[in-house]
Amino acid sequence: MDVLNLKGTDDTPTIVLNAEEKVFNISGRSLPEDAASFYNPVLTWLDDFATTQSGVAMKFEVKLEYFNTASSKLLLDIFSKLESINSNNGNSVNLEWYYEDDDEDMMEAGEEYSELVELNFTLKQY
Amino acid sequence: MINNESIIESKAIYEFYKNMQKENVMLLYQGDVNQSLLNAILSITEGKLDTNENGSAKKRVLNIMVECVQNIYKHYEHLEQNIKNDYSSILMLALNEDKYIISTGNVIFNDKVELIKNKLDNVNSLDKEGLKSLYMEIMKNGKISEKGGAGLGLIDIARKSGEKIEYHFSKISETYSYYILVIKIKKK
Amino acid sequence: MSNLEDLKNAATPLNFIYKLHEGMMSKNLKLIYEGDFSQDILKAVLSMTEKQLESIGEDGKIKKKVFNIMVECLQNICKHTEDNKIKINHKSAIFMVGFENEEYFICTGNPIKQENVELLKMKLAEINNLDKEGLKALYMEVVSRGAISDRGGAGLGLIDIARKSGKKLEYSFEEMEKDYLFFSLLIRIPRN
Repeated sequence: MDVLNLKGTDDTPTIVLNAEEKVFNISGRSLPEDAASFYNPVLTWLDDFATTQSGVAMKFEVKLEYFNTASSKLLLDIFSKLESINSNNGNSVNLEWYYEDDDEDMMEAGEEYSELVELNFTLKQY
Repeated sequence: MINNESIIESKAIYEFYKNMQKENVMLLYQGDVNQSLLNAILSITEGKLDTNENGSAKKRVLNIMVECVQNIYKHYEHLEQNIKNDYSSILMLALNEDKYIISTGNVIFNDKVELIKNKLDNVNSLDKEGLKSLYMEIMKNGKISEKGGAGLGLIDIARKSGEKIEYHFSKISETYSYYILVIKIKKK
Repeated sequence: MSNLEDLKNAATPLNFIYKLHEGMMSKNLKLIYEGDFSQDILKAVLSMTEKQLESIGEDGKIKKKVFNIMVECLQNICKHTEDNKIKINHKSAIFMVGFENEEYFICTGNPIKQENVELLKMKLAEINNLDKEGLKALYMEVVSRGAISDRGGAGLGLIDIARKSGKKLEYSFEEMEKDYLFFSLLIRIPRN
């Protein structure tokens, strides 16, 4: 399946989704005004993944410096997609949420997402 | 502050500047806004905080600035150009002893005032836990308003600020009001 | 909705912002920026003003004049603040644009080093002494001589501003802290 590769900018994150290489990550800053259209390709890619892939142990890494509230809803949408990928077609998902060691807000945000979705959620300090 | 004499003169510029310094204003923009200007302001803010701020306060300030900027922009899009020209938006960052102060001012439609005021009062009436559960609830139920989740933005601001949000509305015409927000962030 | 009386007693920042808003209205200011200056801010402020001038249907010639003078002013500020950055990183510069009595006005204010003041004063005085023809001659001379100062031709910038504005440059220097003065420049651009 196609590789999704978005290069980060001042207000959007770097996103790499590569089923073949088993690389799935979002990193950088996510502050777009129109978060819905920015994340649309990601959601589409995940839908494709759900219908075409099987037996993949997905390690999905999220390493964000900042995100705005417009992005927060879209992140939840992504995690919900991961939720449905998980335990279907033999796929499994492990979500790794990174936060910088002094960034309590980002840590808390990770904790909150883990309460909102049924996923293996690992909080990782960096 | 700018005094009320009708003709501006070069000396008045310094008076204005001194007032800004007195209020410890780090950055002030007043005028019409667009996305690239707001992005430029954010990157300036980041550079300014870099040199003398620890990580978590810096992130909070930037996060709140982003939300504020996007709040301004959301209301702004629907205004007519002549209103944009006549009533400018304000974005200010100041550092007052142990607190950063972020202020915004912008024009909104009168029929939005009650709704925003209610949201602000609601947010201000909640403690840390209350804000968290309201945030989670809105995330879960996806109750994002058609203008892209204004509610979530204010809740997020309140959570990151940790202090009550100050606000003021003043009616400028039958259609419009001027809306001011003041948000404080402890420096720690 | 609270009224003005409430606001007078309100906490300082709220009051401060309200006064800014009022001051801006009463002074017919269109844009104020105070802070650090970067190339991005410069570009953004310029495109913003251009759009505003377009939206009110300003005459092309005036629009171009205002735009050109803004570019020179903003680049002057950028240059000066580059110099000052290390010494006074909390002291930012200021830039304003307004419209009043059928003229645009552009204001800049920034701290400059004491040692640069004399030269700048001389340049300003020289420029203000000249009429249109004199400014043109000086401009040509500086251009052809290539006598551009090591800070990138501040002289040429000011001459250009004076020529485009067609008015005397208004300026003042105010004592700041040790080694620095605050340089304010006010440029008027009549609409006709």
